Amino acid sequence: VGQRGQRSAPGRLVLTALQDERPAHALVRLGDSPRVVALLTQLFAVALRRCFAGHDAREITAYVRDLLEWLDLPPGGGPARQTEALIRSVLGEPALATGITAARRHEITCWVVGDLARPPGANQAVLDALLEQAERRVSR
Amino acid sequence: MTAAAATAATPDPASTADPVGTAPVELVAVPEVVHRRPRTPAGEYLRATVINRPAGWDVKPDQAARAFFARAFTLAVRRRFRPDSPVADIARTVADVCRRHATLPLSALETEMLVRHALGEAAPVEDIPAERVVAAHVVVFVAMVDGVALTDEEVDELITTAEDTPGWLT
Repeated sequence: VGQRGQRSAPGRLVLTALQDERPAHALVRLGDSPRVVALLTQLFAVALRRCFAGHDAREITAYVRDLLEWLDLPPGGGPARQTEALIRSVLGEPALATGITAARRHEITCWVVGDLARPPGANQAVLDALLEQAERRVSR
Repeated sequence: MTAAAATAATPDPASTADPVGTAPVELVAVPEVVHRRPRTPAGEYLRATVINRPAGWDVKPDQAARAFFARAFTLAVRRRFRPDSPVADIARTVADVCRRHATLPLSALETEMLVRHALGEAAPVEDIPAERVVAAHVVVFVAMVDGVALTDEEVDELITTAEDTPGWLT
């Protein structure tokens, strides 16, 4: 970790999962590894902050609806609120995510991180940069 | 008649005006404002809650009462916020309400979604438990009318409007 191009073992697992036909599901299956979960948590925060920081929450609501539809999940109700809560929690409203279980957090994290692979998907350079930043944050 | 003659023939309002206001003045009739009071137990309950008085109602809201609370909530929310109000402003207000009513079954995010839904947004409000919806409707109503400093009479007007309106507001 720390040198461009050198991927940590969790980083390689995440990259492999993102190439899966169903990346969100592949990422959820990595939930047994605390190191992978830590990396995904940081990747979730980095990706969202670079995308949504300073935006109105209505854009997040719309994004969540679109994300859940892509995942063939009900686009409203509790899953939508929990997803928005977790996203906004890393954007400066941490209290919103109070009460969301660790398992649920991991699942939502994987939905959002898996979205990086949604066609057309983030290009490899962007993905590498996000992963590198997330790995640095894990190591600190 | 020349313009000069017309001017001379027309009394100068300034010269004929009563400078000290002692002349009799014809008062314009002001339509009598009928102050309506809430007439349903739920309406009385809401009023009592706003003015911080004991509410003489066993709070087990039926469908009609829940619909009334929802209407009153919507009317009050639309007094306080606009459809394009920043979500951060709404979230801050709602978080403050939830903090002040920590003993009630309230979720800040659910409450925020209810407020945004009342403003016409496609916010995810499905499957929020009924008791949390009612609690949010009542406490947010109180906070909203306080937030825009409505008088007791204006609160009554809001409540009676909600009582008069059939169905659910959209």
